[in-house]
Amino acid sequence: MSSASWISRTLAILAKDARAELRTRYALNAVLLFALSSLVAVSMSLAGARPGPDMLAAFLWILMVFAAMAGLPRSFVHEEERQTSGWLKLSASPAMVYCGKFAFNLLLILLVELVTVPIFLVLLNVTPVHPAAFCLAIGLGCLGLAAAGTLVAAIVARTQNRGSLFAALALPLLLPVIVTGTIATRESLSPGTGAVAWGEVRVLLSYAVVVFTGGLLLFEFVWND
Amino acid sequence: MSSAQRDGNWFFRHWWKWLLFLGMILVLAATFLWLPVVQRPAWDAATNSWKPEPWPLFRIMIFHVPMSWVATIAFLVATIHSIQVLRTGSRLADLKAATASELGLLFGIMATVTGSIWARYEWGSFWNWDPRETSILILILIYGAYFALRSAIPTETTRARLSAVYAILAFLMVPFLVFIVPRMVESLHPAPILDRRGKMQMDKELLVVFLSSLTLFTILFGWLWHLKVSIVRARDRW
Repeated sequence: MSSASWISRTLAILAKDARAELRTRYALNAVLLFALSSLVAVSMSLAGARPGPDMLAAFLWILMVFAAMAGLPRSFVHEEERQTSGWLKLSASPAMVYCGKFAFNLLLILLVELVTVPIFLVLLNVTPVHPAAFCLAIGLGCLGLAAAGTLVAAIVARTQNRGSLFAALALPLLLPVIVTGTIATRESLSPGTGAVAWGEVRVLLSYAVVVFTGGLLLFEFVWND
Repeated sequence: MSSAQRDGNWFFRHWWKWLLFLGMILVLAATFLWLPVVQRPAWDAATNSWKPEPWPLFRIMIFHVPMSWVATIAFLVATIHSIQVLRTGSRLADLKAATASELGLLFGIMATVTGSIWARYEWGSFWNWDPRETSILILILIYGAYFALRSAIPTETTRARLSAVYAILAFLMVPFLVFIVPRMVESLHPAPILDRRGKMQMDKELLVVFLSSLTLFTILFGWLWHLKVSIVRARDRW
């Protein structure tokens, strides 16, 4: 199969998921509202206190990870619920499905962060000292979240209690991202440090590459019976 | 075959188990009765110099280190058998992987508990977020999730495949746990047994007891693993 048709089929899966999502807005609404309400809960319970960069970075990452967990399992669970996974298996190879779902999840997370992070900055009155480094840390974190989340979502969709297992399975795998992402974000929020924490950026990038590649190789065993 | 003959065979067939039992008792007795208390340098403010000080807490090392070693070996064995599950779809490999993970979890929890008790008396609190404490905690979380996943899949072949995928994905985290978590905090942990130049830092008697304990615990793991696999196979008749 030519690479052009491979890409076009992968994009078709992405477009299908995006269209289905726009019709129901199930994941988008759930994730956005979840992120907003937990954001409000955090800023209200702080009650005007001014936490330092290390606290703020930790809050932001906990919010991001749990918001992603509210939405990521949908990508495969809805295929099982509507019993459309059989059709998808006939029309595309496992690698295409994995890449298409990964792209959709990445788009979903980025969209959610695009809404929640500015509100976080406004509500908690934070100014990123190094805005470029701040965006880099969050963006690479989203990459890692989407990579690990896609494969775990595929696993969870095949189990009995779909969804409720997702956080238990994904969180231990995501701990490296949470830890490094928090450190990188903290550096970008504190004045007087170097602009970009290159060590952390490298770790986030290599995590995303390792987990995406591992997922690509392992996905076939999850997807096919 | 008469029953006396069978009993004789039974004794000789299981000679290594008796040896293991004897060895464990010897290690226990040697640790508490025979080994001299380790002296370690301590800063003496009165004379402004390093002075040797008795350090009886070293004894837990003879049991704690083998436990975390066995946990590591068990998770490695589980990963190898998980790869085997994906390659061949073997039911036996799945059973072996699950059993090894179970024992790894058990020994991991025991290593955490013994280390925690030691930390209470050495560092002053049960939990310190030391890099090794943190990484073994993450491992315990991961393998806890592994068993949650196994219990949520009713079909045997699907369960074998999906849990193998999760185990391999978890193994991909090892380099991150080894290289990243130590960046978070300075380690309080005692130096590894072999220092950077590969020089042993133990007395001869201590080394003998420690290495025997390590060997005996590894054999114990092998035995427990084999036993559990055989029990399940006998119960399910395959």
